[in-house]
Amino acid sequence: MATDSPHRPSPDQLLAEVEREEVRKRRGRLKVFLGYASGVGKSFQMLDEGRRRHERGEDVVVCALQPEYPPEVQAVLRQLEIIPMLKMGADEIIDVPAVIERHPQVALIDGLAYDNPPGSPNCHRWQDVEQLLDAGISVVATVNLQYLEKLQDEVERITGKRASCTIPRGFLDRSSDEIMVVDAPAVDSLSREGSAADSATRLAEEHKLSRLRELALLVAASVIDRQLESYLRSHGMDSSWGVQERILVCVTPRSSAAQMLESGRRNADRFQGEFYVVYVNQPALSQEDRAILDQNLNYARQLGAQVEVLNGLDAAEAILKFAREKGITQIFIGHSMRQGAWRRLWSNLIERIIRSAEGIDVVVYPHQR
Amino acid sequence: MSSSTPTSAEILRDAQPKRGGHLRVFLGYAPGVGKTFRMLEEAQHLKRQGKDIVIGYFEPHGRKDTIAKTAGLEMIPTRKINYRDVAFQEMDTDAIIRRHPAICVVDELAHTNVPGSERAKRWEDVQVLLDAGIDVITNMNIQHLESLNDHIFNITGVRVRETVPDWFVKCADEVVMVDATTGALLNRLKRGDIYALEKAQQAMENFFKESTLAALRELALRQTAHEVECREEPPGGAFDAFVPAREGDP
Repeated sequence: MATDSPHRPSPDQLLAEVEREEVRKRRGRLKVFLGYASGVGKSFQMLDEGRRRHERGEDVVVCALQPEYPPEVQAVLRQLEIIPMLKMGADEIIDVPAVIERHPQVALIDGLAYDNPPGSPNCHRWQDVEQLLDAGISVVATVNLQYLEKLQDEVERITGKRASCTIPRGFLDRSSDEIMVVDAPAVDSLSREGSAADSATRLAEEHKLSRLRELALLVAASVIDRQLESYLRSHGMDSSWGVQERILVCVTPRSSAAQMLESGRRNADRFQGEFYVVYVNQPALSQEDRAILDQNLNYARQLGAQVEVLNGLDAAEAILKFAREKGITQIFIGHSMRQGAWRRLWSNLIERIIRSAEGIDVVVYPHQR
Repeated sequence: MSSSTPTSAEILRDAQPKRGGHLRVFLGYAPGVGKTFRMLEEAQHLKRQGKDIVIGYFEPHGRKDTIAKTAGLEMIPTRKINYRDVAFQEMDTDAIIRRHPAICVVDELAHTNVPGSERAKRWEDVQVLLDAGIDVITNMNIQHLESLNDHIFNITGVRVRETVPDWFVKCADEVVMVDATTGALLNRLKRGDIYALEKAQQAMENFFKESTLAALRELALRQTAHEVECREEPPGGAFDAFVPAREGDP
């Protein structure tokens, strides 16, 4: 998430952006087909894209293959030029010098996450790919979610396993120009034969696959979210209409906030959005108010909210500042039913938030207390 | 299985309690991401597996690669419906039910039928096919999901009129994302693969802005993740009470 202000890039940031842009232009471009498991059709989609590019006149060469392919993939492969891999004992590695010598526009690499056998010039295949990119050759490659280093913890939580060879965080974050999800159902209801009894093992397996699938989709979504944010920033556009829902619930000591908090949670869940809860510090709380506030904030934490206590004499200003910093898309705020001066003050605060919250939805909840 | 004497398998099937067909929805984020192509690829794959599969409706859009993918697949002829002296082609739902394939491919789920059709919306026709026990593979774009209408309007500035109700998509056994990078999509548009070139120019100034596409793409990915998650947990909560029960896999 953006830690800096999403509105005004500093000159340093702009310069860094320009430099990155120049490096990008010299280097080949990397496009990764990301799948959540083997057998989802990554190879076919990637090679078929290669075939289409070849038909449009791009100079495309296949540089790394899997040991075996189904007939439909073989049919695509027959239409493409292949630079054979080098034998290294029982293993094979990309013939990097031959590819650089041949210098195609696009190199197709089926399987990015291989370790090269001992004695190879590079330990890992991603390092081979790095060399190709540096030589100005674009690469289209496939990778399985399980082999991304940054997802090792999450993958382990799902599968109980960690991959032995992984693509380091830096590799994809730095140079992955494009990522594309290859999605397929984890349970294929159309091809499934008969009504095989739902064995516990099969159900557990399907459950794991579904969770990996969800993870792959969300990983791609967050990559795109980052790209979108930087695109909007570099084009001087406001990013407050972003897709990632970020819900902010404002609690006060005097409100029964449970309903508002639960609604905030549900709304955040709907799109795997983020959920924040803030309280603006008020001086001299009564013991009773303090207890209710603590109760509200504890409940917010139980619901998995990121809770922050804000300081500032002007509560509306503090809330809006926080909302802009975090790119909040919806503010939930309670409206007291009590009469009197305090109510007028609060109404005024809500009004100011609504007026100034450009591009942010404000939802006002009545409080019965 | 189109012969008039039922096979033993059909008799067996009919003797079993009535069971709705399975529904698979390919979800894209814009015209041209490859929904129809992917759907037909899937159809070819199922045909190779020996499934009895037909195309119930196919919108060629003049795209060569996509049309080539229909080769060898049985296509149920569309129905002509005259409206204000113009003949429109609509899916012939009755003909599909008479043919009664195991699986039927239906392009463009969000389509609105021309006035004079039995049903107003194509998703209603699909429901009829499912009720008849036919599996359906179909596709739609994220902007056609009813509950996202306002959100999509905020992103694109376009009010989408053809929508599919959320409960219908919730009923699908599978929702599968058809992804393409925004760069690839814009290239397809510039090459004239999606629309004729002058229309493409117009499209690029409106709907097909890079930021708009990226936002829609992200939305579609998150929605698909959400759909995956919904199918993981047993249904609960007020909303699900309104979902018509369909038998099938949990």
